Amino acid sequence: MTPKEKTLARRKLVLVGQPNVGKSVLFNALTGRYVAVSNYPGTTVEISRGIAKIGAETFEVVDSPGIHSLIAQSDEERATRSCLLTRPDLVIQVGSAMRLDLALMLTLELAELEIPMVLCLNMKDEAANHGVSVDKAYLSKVLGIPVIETTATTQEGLPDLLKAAARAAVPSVSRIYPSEIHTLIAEFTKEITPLYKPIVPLLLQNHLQAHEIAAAGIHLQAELWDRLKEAQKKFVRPLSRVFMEARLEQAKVLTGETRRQEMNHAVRGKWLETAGQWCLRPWPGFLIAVAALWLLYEFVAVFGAQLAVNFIEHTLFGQYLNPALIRGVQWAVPWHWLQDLLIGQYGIFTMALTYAFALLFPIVTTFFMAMSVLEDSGYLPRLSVLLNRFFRIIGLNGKAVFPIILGFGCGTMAMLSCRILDTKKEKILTSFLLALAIPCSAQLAVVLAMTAGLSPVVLFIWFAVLAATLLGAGYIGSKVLPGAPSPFFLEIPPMRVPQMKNVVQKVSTRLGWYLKEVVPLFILGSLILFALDGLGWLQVMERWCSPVIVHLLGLPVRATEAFLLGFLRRDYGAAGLYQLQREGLLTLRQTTVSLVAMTLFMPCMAQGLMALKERGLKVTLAIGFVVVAYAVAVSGLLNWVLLHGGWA
Amino acid sequence: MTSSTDIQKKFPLPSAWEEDLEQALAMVWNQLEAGHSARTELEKAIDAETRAGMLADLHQRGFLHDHDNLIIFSQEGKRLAQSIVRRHRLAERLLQDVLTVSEDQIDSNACRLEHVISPGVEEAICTLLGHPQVCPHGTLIPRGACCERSLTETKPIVFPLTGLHNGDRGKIAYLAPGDRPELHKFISMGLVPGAELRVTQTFPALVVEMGGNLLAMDAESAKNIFVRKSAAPGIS
Repeated sequence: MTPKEKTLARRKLVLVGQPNVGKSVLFNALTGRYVAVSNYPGTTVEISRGIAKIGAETFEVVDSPGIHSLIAQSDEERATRSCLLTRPDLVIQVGSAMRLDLALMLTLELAELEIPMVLCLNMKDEAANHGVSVDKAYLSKVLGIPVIETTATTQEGLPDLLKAAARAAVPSVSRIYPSEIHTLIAEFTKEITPLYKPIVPLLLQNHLQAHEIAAAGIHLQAELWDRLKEAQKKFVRPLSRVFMEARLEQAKVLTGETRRQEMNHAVRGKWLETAGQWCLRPWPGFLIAVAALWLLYEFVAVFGAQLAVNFIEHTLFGQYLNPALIRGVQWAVPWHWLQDLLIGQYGIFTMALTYAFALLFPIVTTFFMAMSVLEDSGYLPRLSVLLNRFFRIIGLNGKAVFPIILGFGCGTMAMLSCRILDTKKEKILTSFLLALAIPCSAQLAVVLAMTAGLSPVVLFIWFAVLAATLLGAGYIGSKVLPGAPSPFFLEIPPMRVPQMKNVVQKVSTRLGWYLKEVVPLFILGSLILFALDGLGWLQVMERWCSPVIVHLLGLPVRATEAFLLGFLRRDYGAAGLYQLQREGLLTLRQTTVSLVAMTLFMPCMAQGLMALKERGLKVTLAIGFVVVAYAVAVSGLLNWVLLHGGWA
Repeated sequence: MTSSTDIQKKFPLPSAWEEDLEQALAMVWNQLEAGHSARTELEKAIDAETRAGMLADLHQRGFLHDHDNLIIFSQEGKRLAQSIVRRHRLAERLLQDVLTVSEDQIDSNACRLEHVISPGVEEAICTLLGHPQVCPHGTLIPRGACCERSLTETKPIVFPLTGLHNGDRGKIAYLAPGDRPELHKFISMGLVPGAELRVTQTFPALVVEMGGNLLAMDAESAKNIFVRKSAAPGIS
């Protein structure tokens, strides 16, 4: 949101609801802005903001991560709760008629916050497919708020929703708990500033930490905390369970009164359901998983990394663009140093932009396309189920499939999506594995390109080292880090056919994000190399590093440049190695060792910054230290083994 | 609406006298179990906790016999004592395992509950708990008819969700007690007592279908959900 938009938006609107009910699609439709949408619960890990005009008024619209209740467990759920505690002016609760009871359970809880709201039952098309209908008028009367049905993907019902927003009201439900609970709520409400009244039930459920309340600008006396503890002790069962069960009970009554499902309704899209089941079961699930990976490989590594890169790099850049640019620059720029800066060995055009657009762009584009299709189809949660047992070995559970797979695309995005994991231990462990053993798509592409013409043994060694690292590091990490493994529990969304429009939109957003991050860093990298080279420092650094690079790893001294670039971006470094190899400067052994070193080596700067933001300085430094030490040790060992194995 | 006096007439609570008698018989059982069966010693202990002359009273009513200055139960006495002790200890387990009452409240509540538990309810509790054999204090729970029957059946009627097979239908009986975060997730996703579910696969993870939604979980999660298997599988 630009500052100008911010001043225009006077009132705040928050979209809240269960995961995977279409909040983000609705957000996109309302604001005309794009946020990532996928068929995976918990895709929205950050709060996104946009602007929408409703009637004559301009609203700041907030898309929040999905929640089942205000009892927050993970970071993203806490983010949503904090957002609601800042008391927005309007809440649009998004739910699904398919699970009306769960939606209403949340409605009853949101009602306690006393914020005007609208209930939007989205995915009407899916409900209709299953013969489900809801008596909106009755529901609206009982709850005292407008109830609207929409299909956000086709924009059906959106005008109604906008009109209804003007009639938003505080829900008028009361007395749904056992009477002693109501007595307790009343008792504490008397003691507390009227402004804080809506948080009394949350306090009683013991699910607000002191610092969270302080962050929302609410201050409670210490004495009140003690009294809360006393009150909770009087009950045999945890109060949170008493509250939740009472709300669910009431929600079920309301659902029974308003929801109708046609008996023997022929469900359309039955084949999707069958396909979904197949993907979940070991047979043929694992076969499908292998086939999906093979397709991914064919599309990204063969089509993207070989065919498209060859065409763009050799033909487009090599034969037309770069020669033209070089001639143009030589003609237009009289100074030799500037010519060098633009088109020399470390030139902005010849190195930075060629690497970014010719070498990496086709690869990440194909990867993002494949990933978008996978995400939207609902296949990934099914893969989580299949791979849960494997992830157990490395101290994680199936939920980690999402960040890890995303990590094969871009480690920075993957680092961000660690938020969907439940415990701190899992987040740290996943961040560590992402930094150490998961190559990103650009890196992967260079690896595949470098090994393309070589003996398959090279690729096999590289793969074996990485797989052993992933297993070993995960296993040891899970033992070293404190905390128990968290139980695996995941909703499986229905399979859906990916919408072309959504895929294109998602790929272009991610590509935009990628280029914005990559191009400046690549230019910076080539400038640094150019400066170091010009000042003669590059030779000095190469001398310093040569004990490690030349003696321990057995690589040519120029590989230092590649590793320097690798600090900026891993793929940039990998591309530097690629260049060395093509100039015939790497033997088979050196290729193998350098590939392993570059993959294990530090993550790129962007991923490091994201780690710093998400995990904090201490953890990031610890991860960085372990990763560098391990990368050097293992690559050195590999070099030694290969050398003694008779590899030249 | 029925007034409380009507209910009292229809379903009378045990009188104070009957309660005392049951209480005393249970005490004798406890003492004998602990190995105190000398008449004088026993008389002192029982009379001190109930009223003077209680042991003599029980004796006179034919619940107890003398044997070389040691006290033993008559047949009728043993039947009554065993029944009340069983109800008390089952009540303790119910309070501890399912209702998670704090420890200091278990005994006092069990003492009152035991008198109002009818034989049918006693069996239901025993079955719900899976025919437990010891009470929370470590003493044995006398076995009932339902326990004997359960020996010939393979499984208790209520068991963790991990015990259901592919295609089985079940109804959630209760969630394991506690305040763990994943339990809140269960409740907020509708996995609550009474909810009906169907197991669609058990490997590599357990997948259940509930109200048209699919939920996947591992044994770690599923072991906290206790279900009653539905009698007629395969009917949709």
